[in-house]
Amino acid sequence: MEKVIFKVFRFNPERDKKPRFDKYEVPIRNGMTVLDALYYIQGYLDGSLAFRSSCREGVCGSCGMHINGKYRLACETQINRLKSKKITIKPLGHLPVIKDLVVDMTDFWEKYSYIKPYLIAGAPPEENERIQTQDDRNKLDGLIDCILCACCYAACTITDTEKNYLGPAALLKVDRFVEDSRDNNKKERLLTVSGDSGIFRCHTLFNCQEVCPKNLDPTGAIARLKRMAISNTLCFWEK
Amino acid sequence: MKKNIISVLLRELKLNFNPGMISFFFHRITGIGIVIYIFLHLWTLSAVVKGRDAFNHSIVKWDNTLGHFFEYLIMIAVLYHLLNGIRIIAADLFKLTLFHKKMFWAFGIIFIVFAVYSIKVFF
Repeated sequence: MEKVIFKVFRFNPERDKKPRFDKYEVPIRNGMTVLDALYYIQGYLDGSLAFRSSCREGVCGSCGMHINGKYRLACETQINRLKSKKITIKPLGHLPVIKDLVVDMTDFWEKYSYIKPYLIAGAPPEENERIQTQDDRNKLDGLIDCILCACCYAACTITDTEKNYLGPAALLKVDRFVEDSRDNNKKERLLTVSGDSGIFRCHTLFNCQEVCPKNLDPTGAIARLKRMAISNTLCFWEK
Repeated sequence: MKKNIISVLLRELKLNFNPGMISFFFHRITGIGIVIYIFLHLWTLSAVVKGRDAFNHSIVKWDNTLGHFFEYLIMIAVLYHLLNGIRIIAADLFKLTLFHKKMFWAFGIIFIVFAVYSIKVFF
């Protein structure tokens, strides 16, 4: 059976002075994912390895990590497709490591809750439900599929240099509600993200777009919010 | 802890080696280079306050192969910064975020054509 070397980031802040990489030889089969290999390592080679996972099918967003030069979901990354006999795995960047590949996502969730990621309709619905036309619903395509894996947050350089920057995932969610015909809080949402730590802190690096496992376009969403914020400021007579 | 911008850029470039990050890396480097050049430029021109001869002497100092090489470097830094700036503004303002890689390669070709042609002009 073909074997691949896995070089895995190991660090326990309570015990280790600095991080290290441990090497494991894993026998692989066709269709095997990086997550399967991590379970193999944990089950047969080193039970102390810590990592997050849940659904194993790219829905929960728990297993985001840096695999061979790119942030990806371990459960959706097939080993054969990496075309390498040596696979290096690191935890998500710009978030403190709790242990090995597990990071503390408090910052990410705090920023996410700051932008109010829920519908604010303002008034009760005229009928029993809030009707949305097909065209209005189509506007949400590519915005509602985010699984909050934080790959974009880890890949964004600005989340490292500016600790208060909201990050691509939160800003994509803002765009999702700004575009939603049922939401009645557009101006407040734009105001929330127009500050120093919001959309204008984005330097348009495209890292978030590059790594998104769902092929979403957070850079495009941020650019749309920028255009709306600029137009809202310039067209003051419409206020 | 204060972070060193160059080490942050190099680390991030290693983690995210893609056209967007590569262009950002060089955008920052050329930006820093242009700022340093402005001070050198003002220092050279400031000789004018000491009179005509001092100014001429200050300018002639750069009229040699090494001086022309530095001029060439600053020209390609400005050219890169300009083209990449246009690319970013176009992506942000004209809904072109999904075409940024194509723009990266297109602007790359324009950059190479100007950079190669300028060798003849500067040397």
